[in-house]
Amino acid sequence: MENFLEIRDLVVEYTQNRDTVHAVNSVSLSLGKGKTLGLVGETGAGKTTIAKSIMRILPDVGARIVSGEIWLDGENLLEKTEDEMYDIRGSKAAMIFQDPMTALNPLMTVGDQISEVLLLHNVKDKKEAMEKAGDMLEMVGIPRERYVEYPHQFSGGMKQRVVIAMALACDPELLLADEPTTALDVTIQAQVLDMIRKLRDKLNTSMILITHDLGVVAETCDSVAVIYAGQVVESGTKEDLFDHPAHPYTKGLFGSLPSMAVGEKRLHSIKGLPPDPTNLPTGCAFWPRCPYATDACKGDSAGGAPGISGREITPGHFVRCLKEV
Amino acid sequence: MADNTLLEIKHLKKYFRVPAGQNHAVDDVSFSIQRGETLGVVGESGCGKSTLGRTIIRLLEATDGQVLLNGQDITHVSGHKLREAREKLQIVFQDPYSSLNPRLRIESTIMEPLQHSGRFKNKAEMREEANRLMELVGIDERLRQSYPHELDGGRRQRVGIARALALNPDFIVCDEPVSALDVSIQAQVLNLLMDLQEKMGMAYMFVTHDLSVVRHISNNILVMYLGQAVEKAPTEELFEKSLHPYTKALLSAIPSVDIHRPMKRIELKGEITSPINPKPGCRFAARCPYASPQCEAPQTLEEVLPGHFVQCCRCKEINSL
Amino acid sequence: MTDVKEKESAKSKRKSSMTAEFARRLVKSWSAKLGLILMLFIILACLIGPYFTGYDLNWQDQSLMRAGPSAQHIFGCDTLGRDMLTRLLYGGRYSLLMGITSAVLGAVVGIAIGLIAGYFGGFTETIIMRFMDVWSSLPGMLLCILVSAAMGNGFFPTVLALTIGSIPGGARMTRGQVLSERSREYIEAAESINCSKLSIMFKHLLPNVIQPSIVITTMSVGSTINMAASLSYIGLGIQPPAPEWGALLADGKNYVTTNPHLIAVPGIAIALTVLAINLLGDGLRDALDPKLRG
Repeated sequence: MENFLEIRDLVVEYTQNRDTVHAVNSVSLSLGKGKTLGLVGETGAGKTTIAKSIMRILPDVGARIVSGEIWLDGENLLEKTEDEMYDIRGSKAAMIFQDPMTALNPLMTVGDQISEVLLLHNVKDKKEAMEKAGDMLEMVGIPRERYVEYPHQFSGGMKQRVVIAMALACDPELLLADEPTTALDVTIQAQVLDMIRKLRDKLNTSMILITHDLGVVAETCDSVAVIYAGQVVESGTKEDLFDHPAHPYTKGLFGSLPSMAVGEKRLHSIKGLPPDPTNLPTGCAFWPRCPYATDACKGDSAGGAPGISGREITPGHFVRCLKEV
Repeated sequence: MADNTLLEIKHLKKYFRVPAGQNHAVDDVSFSIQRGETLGVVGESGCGKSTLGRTIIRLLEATDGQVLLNGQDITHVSGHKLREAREKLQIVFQDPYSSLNPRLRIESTIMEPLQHSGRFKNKAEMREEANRLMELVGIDERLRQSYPHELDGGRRQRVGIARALALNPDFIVCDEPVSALDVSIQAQVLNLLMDLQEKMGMAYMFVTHDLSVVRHISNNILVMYLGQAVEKAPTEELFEKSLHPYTKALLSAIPSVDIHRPMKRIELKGEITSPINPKPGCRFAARCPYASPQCEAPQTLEEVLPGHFVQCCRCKEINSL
Repeated sequence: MTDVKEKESAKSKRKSSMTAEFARRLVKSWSAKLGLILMLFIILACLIGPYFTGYDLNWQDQSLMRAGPSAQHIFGCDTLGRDMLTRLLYGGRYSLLMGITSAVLGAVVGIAIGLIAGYFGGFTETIIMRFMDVWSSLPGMLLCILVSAAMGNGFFPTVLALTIGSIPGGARMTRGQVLSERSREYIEAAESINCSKLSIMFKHLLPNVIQPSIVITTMSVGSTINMAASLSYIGLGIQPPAPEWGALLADGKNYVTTNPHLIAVPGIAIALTVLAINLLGDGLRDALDPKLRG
């Protein structure tokens, strides 16, 4: 099957106080039409930077896409002009952010915010836009009558629904959801995730779901990529990763989950801290924390890491590790 | 076993005055905590779980009700007695970014409670004790002179824990101590908290919205909804056989990492309502799939099974007990 | 990206104290640098300058009344034929001393009041802050005139008048800061470990709320210098023959068209000083602003 989205060897750097932050280091990902890919990793692993690179909304100052290609539906987004990207954003690819409180304009009614998006893109007539905005509200489970209300009149879960309605207003084919339910309570999270899943299936939207919650991935995604220090350390189908995790970091993540330790007193935590992205370890970025690390994992004197690249252990299941653990 | 009771909370109420009326943040909650026990308190944002913890340790003044520490009423004590009570009751906060004074070095932060306790003769003794505490919670000695902003979230949380331990408390309120941390760091801190309890034997009240964390660490669990305790039971019993409709929905909403278990989710209508000027009667009724007219009457927490308390008038009916 | 920054600083295990960090950032800001250099120059000039002008404060040559700048008297002479430069530098001592003293005194009192109002809250706060509102609704000039009228002229009454005028600003600013800081958990933590109210106010709150007040105080030195000059100009405040800058201006006011240097010299001195102080204040704000928290 032809991949709808394909990222090849993406490298993104930030410059900060004359230091270079290696945020994304040669990431390759692919996503089929109508499928959902989960990006899992800890704070600062580079998940959000990948999504922002796809949307081309990295800050102008300080951030730089060094190399790589991002193919969306047969077109390389990194070769697009800003004007061309303007048309792609919203209509072809849309992004939902973590915090619904800051994503909405407090001085505009929620309905007008949705119809504004529509008017900016494919809808010309104001009346038609308002009609469609009302439809969108109903689609995310908000009564049409609340079109005229302001964001502060909505609860957190409702606001996130409005944000999702805005993102979906122009029927994007790719939805990038950055921790869409992290700020919500668990029963509300269940409702919102449920709605996202239903809409995705109904509209046949491809989706990248960024999260640190493996439970959310298990319930929502078809395939998973685990990100550590700006690299994909393991990727595959959901079944590959949840049934046969192969990378020591992936295993560590599962071991850290209290729900996986029923009957056990201690959690199998990962020792140490994530590496400093301005000063990544040579070789495999995980070796200082890895219980299986040997000298080979530390890379050679030139800082290279022969052999530490994606290895396909079963068809479609890639692991960035020298060891068979 | 009454002599093993550390804290007894009786009909505790904490109301806040807000422009729209009275916010019943904690409304008539009663329970007790044994020495060395961990009580998990779960609920969604705004259910009053943090207020409950703060009211018990006297960071907030109770509106009504009693808190008994070792049989002594501490609800309204002041002066010397309050200071004594506070030494026994400590707290670890959710946000390791705001719970440390940004202008105090790590060592000063940990030494501060020692200075107020009067147990130490001089600075050198205090410094020695601070070193012992830092070692206990696993902070490297070379970080003594660092400022909080130089530490990562996990280490800051360890400093917060050391500060709470400094007074040798019998009871620590852990207010979402790991929810701001990444998964791998979260596991480190949870392990630390459990190790410390084993060594020092204090009781925890573990306030969180994360049910898998609470399951791992608690002996008993109290479920709160809009300021009231709706269910209290031993941990495994609560997870295996929850009786209150809200608890059932809450448990079913946790995203599971078990990809082969079919999802059976209890869908709740609407969202949590506000605890301002609530009507008498069950506060969950508006979202409850089992609501009926009898739910409009005031509800009480009753012992339905041994050690298993539920506040629901239709509990027996629903669960065919 | 805040946590990237954080790890960076955690990595570089420099025992960089906050003061050093602050100083580094202060020097990096060009406005602070310029302000600092200008201010140091002005202060030094006023302190030691008068000994090098070659003239005594009361030296007088009636033939040189209102004489314009010349090689002997580079800023010219005043209405009585005294050396303008000497008088300007002497006058600067008064102006700067009065400006700085009253701004600092006002800030200290204002910060204390704001701290009490913000920390105790409730009724105490309402009373204090309403009082501050009334206080600051009186025009500053009027207040100074009232105090001068009641207590007489001279150095101390003037400083007192200026101090009183600058209290409400500091109080308001501090109270606002305390309100936002008071809800942070480290204050609760301090209560839970039995810190006394005084200790919470001065050990925990004060260092965390004082930064904006420092900026405001610095800036207000400029306005108190202006105010002191205005008082002298209308004949209150410091009395002749003390050559306070406002008095110099008043002295020359009748000769604006014929001998503009009489006005220009003290006028430019005041303007330059106020400019330097504002630059310094701006720089301080920049250096203090990116808060040192996560």
